[in-house]
Amino acid sequence: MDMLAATVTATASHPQAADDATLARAAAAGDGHAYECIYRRHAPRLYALLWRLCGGSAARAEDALQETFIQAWRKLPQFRFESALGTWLHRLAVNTALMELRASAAFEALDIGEDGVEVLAGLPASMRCNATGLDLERALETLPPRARAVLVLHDIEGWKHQEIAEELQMAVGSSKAQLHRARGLLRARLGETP
Amino acid sequence: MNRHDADHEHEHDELAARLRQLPAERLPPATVWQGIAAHLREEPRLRPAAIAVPAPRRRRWLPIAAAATVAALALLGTGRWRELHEQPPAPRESPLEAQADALAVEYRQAIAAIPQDTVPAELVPALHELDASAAGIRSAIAQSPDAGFLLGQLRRTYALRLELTRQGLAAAGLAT
Repeated sequence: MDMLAATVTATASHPQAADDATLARAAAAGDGHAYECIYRRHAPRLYALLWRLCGGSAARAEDALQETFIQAWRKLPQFRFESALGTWLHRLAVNTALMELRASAAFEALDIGEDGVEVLAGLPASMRCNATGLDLERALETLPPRARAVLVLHDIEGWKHQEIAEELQMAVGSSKAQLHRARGLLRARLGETP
Repeated sequence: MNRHDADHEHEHDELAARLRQLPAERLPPATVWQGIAAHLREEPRLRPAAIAVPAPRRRRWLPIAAAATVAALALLGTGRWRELHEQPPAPRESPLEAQADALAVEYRQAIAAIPQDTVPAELVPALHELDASAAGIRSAIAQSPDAGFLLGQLRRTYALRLELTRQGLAAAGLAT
């Protein structure tokens, strides 16, 4: 950790189980070790979320996670502790992932069509012919990006449609429609009858 | 949100229950933190005395265009245009551009090891397209030095270019 030596100012000052607020204040003051503690604590949770939002693409999820914590490092001095640090990081991670997804032509292109046939067409034949063999995580990865984002945020992360609509810059009704579509596609992928 | 909210009409749905039972955590590879730590080293926390110094290259088109117009008029007015035009200040490279440069060096070394003159002709248009994409991403990085996701896109574009080249040579029966 020599690379962070210059920013480590309070390595020994915070206990092993320092709370998020303490770590955040230390990191905001430039304590690289405190920031690494924040990363170790929150990264697994955020990585699981980013992995799903990125459709199981490890490279994209890793990029998004890295970018999230780089952005958080920059923005931490402005963090006002009006929400939990975990909540703030969670929102930042979603923003980062969706920004990259929006930048990708696939985000829009793969969303054209009502039944996701275009996505199924891209699946290996073995997966299409044995839809019941897909586990839930793999099935999620095959959903169109926008529908998948709505489903992940709503059904797994517990966001409300209003929040999703704002984040994805769509109408609340569109968020509900995308969720309905995503669930139908997911059931189809799993070989279940809607 | 109350229990009767339409958003949660699926509350007892078996699929929703299975979704909520998916693992909440996934361990990222160590390289992610290594990349973050490298960035922190390049971008240490600004000390309070330095915070007032504007960031050297945060490009936003409208303010820059306006500022450039004002600056150009001011320079013309004071007769210093020629003097400054002949000696432009060397732009400082952002950390993102430095990482993009490092990626480009790695890519060029890798591609140099592949005999380009034997690439199948049908692959050439796709390779040119990827080269153009990489150039476009590098240009975007120069314009948006905060957009870290572009580095991932550049990495994937270079990787795809290399992979496509290798596949083409393999199809042609040539070892790489």
